[in-house]
Amino acid sequence: MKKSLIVAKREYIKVVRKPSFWLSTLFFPVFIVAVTLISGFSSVQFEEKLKSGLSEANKVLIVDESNFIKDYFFVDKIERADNLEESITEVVNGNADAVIYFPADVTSTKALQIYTQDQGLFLNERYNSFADTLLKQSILSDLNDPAKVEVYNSTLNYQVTTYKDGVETNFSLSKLLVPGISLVLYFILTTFATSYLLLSVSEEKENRVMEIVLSAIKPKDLIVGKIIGLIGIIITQVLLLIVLSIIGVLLVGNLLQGSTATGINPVNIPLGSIDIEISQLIGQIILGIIFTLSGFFILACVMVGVGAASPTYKEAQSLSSIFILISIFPIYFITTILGDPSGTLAQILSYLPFTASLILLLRSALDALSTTEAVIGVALLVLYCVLGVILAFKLFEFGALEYNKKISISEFISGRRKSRKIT
Amino acid sequence: MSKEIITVKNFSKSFGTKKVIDDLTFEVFEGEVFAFLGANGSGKTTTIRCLLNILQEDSGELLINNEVYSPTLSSLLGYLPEERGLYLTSRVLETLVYFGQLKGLSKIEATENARNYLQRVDLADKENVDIKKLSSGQQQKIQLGITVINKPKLLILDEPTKGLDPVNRELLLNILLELNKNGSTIVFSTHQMEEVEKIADRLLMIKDGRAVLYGSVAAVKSKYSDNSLYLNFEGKLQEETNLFNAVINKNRAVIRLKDGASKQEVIKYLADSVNVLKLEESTPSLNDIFIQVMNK
Repeated sequence: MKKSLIVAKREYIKVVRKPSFWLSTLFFPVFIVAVTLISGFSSVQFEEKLKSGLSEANKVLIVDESNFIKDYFFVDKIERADNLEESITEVVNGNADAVIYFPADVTSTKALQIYTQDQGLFLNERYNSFADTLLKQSILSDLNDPAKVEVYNSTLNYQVTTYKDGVETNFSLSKLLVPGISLVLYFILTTFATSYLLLSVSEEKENRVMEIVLSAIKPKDLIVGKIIGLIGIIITQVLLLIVLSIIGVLLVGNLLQGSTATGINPVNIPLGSIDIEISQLIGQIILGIIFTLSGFFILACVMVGVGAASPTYKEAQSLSSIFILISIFPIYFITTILGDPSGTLAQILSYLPFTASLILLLRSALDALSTTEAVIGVALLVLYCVLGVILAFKLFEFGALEYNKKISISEFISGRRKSRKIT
Repeated sequence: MSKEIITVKNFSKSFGTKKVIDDLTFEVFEGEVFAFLGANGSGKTTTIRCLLNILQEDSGELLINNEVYSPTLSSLLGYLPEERGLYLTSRVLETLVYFGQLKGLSKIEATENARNYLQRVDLADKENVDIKKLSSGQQQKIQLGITVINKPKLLILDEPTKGLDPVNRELLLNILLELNKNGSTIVFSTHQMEEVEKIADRLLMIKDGRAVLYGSVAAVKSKYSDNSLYLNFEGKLQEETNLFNAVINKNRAVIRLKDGASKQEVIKYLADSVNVLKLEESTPSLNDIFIQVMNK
């Protein structure tokens, strides 16, 4: 164990000393925030541009053969026209911005026609909403009941009561807290952490240091040391992210509160909404730790095996990316899984080695994991971890000193090349 | 006789259908310099790897200090493999200290040993330099430093001078001799026979996985001696006696011993019959012996 700690310390210092570690760790949250802000800003800009379609127009012609459109809408730049062909010509010649045509059979076809200048795929739709409003508000005005019109135009609130197994269920956002944190950790572990492990194993092999190292330390101690170092790196990364998040929250809070900000807890966290039972919270934490760590551990085993079996880091990287992709590929089916977290797809993916952790975490977050399924999931994950360790150590035995060639599957299965026993 | 530090008995190893080592037996004694010789692919590296339990033997017994090697014995061992490298992005001192600690030294001991070694090989000013910035020769010195950082009782070096220039080769051999003088046993494989002649006490030569020569360097050379003596003399020397035939050229002669004649008898005869100015035994070089054995 002492030697493992020496290895762990070296692995930790080696990584955290690199500027690239700090850049990537700091860049990750900044990147996420920047992407969110840019995306949000673009979306708002686009919506405003859509809304400004009418305000920027000089002349919009309405050809109403349905006779639904009320006269009081024809003000300012909105003009009634009788002839559709002539109106279209005006748009073509640039004398009008748009023609909205309400056909006589709109009640049966439910279709309107809009003619306007081409301004790109999305902005060509800028009169749709106006035409829709014009028609619906005209029809509503026939009701002659302001209260009904107001209800129609208001945003409704919903109170949903749900039942499961004959009992009323009580969903709270606070239930998502632990699984949510576990999911974030899972992604950090599978993307960042395992790549450090792969680099570490490959580096020793590619630089021909492995044989000297193995003469001084048992392979098991070496691998354990690397994993401990890796965990240290992840803890540093997570702590850094937490500190950055707190600073970010405080800064944003202060900015939002302006000069009167007190600087103390400016963001109002609704503590009252954390209504999860302690026993449930402990259960979630235990499951979160098991699912997250087992997912990481399975991939860590893959990285050790792949790193040892490949002659160069580059080759190891290509091979390992397949496994990382498999591990996060359920994201492509996220809509289906979120829509039906107990469905067939979710159930199948819950029990496959590289997807089980992520799916079980997701289902646990959605409260869609029964106790039986959780027990089976945990048992399978433990089994996959044990198999992973056995395979990783076998590959390490076979491949660690094969400097010039990749280990073939047939050689590995036949076990012809007897190597040292990992102790 | 000294105590055995390495014991190999009836060791065999195959890769697939190819038998690499066939029933090999030898010992290395404490305090000696032992050369392990053989052509490329003769099984030297395989033997060393099995001895260090990096590869598993098919049969036989390979012991260090009467135990099967495991890294728990690493404090007494220094190993320089044939395929060797370094952590290129790490610094010189921290690399040496890391391996020192892996071999059981405290950080303070490892740092002290590392600094002494760097001083010895003129790299004291490079302790905080990244290894990738060192020249190839300097990197080899660091590799040797990793091997000897723990002042090991047993040094196993697989082609230690491979790739070294003559100056650094000389430096390395001197370091090995120093270590040997201080009590380290040295086992090394090489193709450079002059190195063996210079530092080795005993040797083992293997061919196709079998021992073909084994013993002290002097004994091996003597075995391949052609029973001739080179003589510088004054006086009259007979061309043929019942002990030898002589090929005389002015005051020099090559004396070829006849079957059954001993060198002592011939030397006594020469001392009695002529004024001996210089007398040398004719022995082949290890290089000649190596070529002769490998071509058999």
